[in-house]
Amino acid sequence: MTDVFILLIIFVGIFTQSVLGTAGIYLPIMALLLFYIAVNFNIIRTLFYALLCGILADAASGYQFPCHIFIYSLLPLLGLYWVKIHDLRPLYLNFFPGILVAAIQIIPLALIRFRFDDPAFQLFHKWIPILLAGIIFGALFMPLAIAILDYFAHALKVTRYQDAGSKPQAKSRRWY
Amino acid sequence: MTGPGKKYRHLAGMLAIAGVLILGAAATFHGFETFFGRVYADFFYPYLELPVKAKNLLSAQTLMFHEKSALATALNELRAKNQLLASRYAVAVEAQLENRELRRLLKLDQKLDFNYVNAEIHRRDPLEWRERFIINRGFSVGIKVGSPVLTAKRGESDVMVLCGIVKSVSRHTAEIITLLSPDAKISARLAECGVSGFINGGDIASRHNQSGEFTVINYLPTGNSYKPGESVVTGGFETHIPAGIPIGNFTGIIGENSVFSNRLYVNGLINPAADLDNIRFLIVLTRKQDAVAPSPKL
Repeated sequence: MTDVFILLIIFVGIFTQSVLGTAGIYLPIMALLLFYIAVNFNIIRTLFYALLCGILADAASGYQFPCHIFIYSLLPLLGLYWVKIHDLRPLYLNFFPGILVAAIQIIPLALIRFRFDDPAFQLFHKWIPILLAGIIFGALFMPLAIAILDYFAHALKVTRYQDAGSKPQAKSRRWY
Repeated sequence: MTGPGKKYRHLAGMLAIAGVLILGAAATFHGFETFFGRVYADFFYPYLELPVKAKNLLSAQTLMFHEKSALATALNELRAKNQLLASRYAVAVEAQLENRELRRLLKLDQKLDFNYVNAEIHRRDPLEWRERFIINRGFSVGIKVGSPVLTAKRGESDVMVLCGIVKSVSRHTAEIITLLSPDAKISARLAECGVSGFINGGDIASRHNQSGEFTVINYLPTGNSYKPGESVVTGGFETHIPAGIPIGNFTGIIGENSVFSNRLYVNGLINPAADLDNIRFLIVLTRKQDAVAPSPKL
């Protein structure tokens, strides 16, 4: 059931990001959802899905350098760190990882794809608006996504994000 | 080993496995790229086509808000335009037949005929908005790699101009690279002075700045006087792309030869005529027969 739940989240993420992208809106939805998965489930499983999403995203976008593989690979580590250092209970507190994940997704892409023929134009007309929009969206979307996905997780009897820090599996030595 | 030592060993092992997985995925990415690209293009096709269908449905429904008299007037205008296009087509067919006959008499290679496939945008990456997009037609309707893609001219919906070429094809979709993509290498000709060059033939990247978007034309011979504003059309060097399709307007020479340079060519900028920001309908030209490229006559 856990894998079905994760695959459904990934499918919805890819679909939504593609549809919004075709409308000209760049939002780091997939990265935010991968962070949710990373907090909920163990690192190797999350890493496997992060790599799968990274390969899909890079194959779909036709980039020569597989930047999404590396970007998405950071999210399981961030998720692990977030579980260790923070209490996940207050929902609004999760605006912070939302901002962080959006920045992790957009800043490397901006550095790779930045064109120096007109740097000021590139910076102020392209990358700063994308980064700001992504960060604001991340801050708003992350708590909302947690609330919605936790509702489904509870219904499907899968680990909830807000119980991730206190779940019995977290203390287990199993990493696979 | 107990306690913290075991914990760190466990963590190190986990990080090592993670590192191997990440590097393995990155290293083998180009091997799997085509497979995953096809999975994305064909598996997600029906789902990603839904918004396009919804948009078209909405667009059709909004027509109902217009007054009947306005719709009737628009219909009559379209009929008149269709008749005009049909008569122009009849003249063109006559010219084509004459051309074919003359080529036969002169023992020249026959020109290749083209099919016209209409398409819409299926998917677009906002980070590569002007350089690349995916259309909702693939090899199931005969689209091939290298086929030219036309769209309406900026401000003139009746005139079709070159927008880009097909880079890769799957069953239902095709990836289009526009003139602003450095991978779109197309022969071009300046219509008035008759000089030929190659779009994106060199290392200079296309430009997008405050004054607009420009693609680079390379290998223009030195010694000619190039006027800004001159129209640029396809050169017909490629077997997939017919000659004479409008591309855009020549803007000017960049990095002119200095006195001490011994280069035999210069580079220039072209402002594409296609409105790459607002593309909805596209026409893909596909060759009717897969003829072998004609051998050059020496």
